[in-house]
Amino acid sequence: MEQIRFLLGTIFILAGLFVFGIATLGLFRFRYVLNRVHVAAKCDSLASLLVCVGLMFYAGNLGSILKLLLVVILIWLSNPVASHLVCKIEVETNKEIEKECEVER
Amino acid sequence: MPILLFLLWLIFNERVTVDVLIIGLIVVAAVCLICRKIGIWDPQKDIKTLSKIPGMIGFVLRLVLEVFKANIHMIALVLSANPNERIHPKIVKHYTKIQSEGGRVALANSITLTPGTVTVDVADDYVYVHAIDEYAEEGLSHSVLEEKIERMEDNV
Amino acid sequence: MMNLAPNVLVFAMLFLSITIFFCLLRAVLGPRMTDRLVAVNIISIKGVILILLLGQYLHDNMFMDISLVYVLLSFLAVVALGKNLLSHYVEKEKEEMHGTN
Repeated sequence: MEQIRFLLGTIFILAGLFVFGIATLGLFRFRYVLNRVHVAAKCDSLASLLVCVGLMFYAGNLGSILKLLLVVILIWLSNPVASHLVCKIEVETNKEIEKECEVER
Repeated sequence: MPILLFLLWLIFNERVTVDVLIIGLIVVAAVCLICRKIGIWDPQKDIKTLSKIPGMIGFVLRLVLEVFKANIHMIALVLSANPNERIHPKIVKHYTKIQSEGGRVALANSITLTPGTVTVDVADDYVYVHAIDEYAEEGLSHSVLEEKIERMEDNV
Repeated sequence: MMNLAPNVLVFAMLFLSITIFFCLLRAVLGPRMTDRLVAVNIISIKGVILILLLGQYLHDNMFMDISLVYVLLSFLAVVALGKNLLSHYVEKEKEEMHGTN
């Protein structure tokens, strides 16, 4: 039982770390801000979920599991708002946005 | 709302003892009373939302699935040899039938949470969405999540 | 096998620290202000996860409360920075308009 828990937790944490690495790589591979937002903010939402699930397996008692779930819920609620705000600022302040992407009006 | 607040209090405390329960009950009652007086909280609305809970659970499970699917696509995009040529960024104007404020917030948040699409602005009946390539755009135009929110609205 | 758990956690923390460093590099390099905002957002989320891992490593439940507060605080930081940036931009725009007239 202990070993299964340890194995599952390790797998989830390593998968989360892999996604975090991809997010960081994406920050450097794309050329424009709006494309970076996609990779960065989104991979983070998946990665935080995976790492927290892994930690749930490690922790094992009900109080910690519920608290970790609360952390994930808060991240998933606040992360989209933050990235939406970044996009809105970018669209409002950049006058040459037509160069970077097509705009439907 | 009182049940939710009480659950939150129990999660913060991590244990269930008599003193924790008594203090929690008193504080939750006080908070609910204050919210009632100010007019933020309406018990009738809470009963209406209670009937939507099964739909909400289905929505959240579906959302997690969609996030996984789209994330795998995104990871493949980043790891490909030339990501800058393969993407096709575009700002799409997307029409929604959803009228209520809560439904729109849920829609905008779920659009932003699924990788490949970011909500830029919500105006009138349209949502302005920045999509990174054709795949993400395709997923937006016939999305299951939007249908689910619409169905939940009909139940009201 | 369970005694390998601290090693995994240490490796995870080290890896996260390295990625945080690269995000910092992006925040310094970023050509536009919004690049820096994105980097700051990611750094704060990674910080939250780092605190959670540290809490599991030290077997202390207090760290979870700290990370809960930190999530809210980091969100507030991004929103405040964004609003500040936007108001700065509007002011500059006005000055330019007056300059050309």
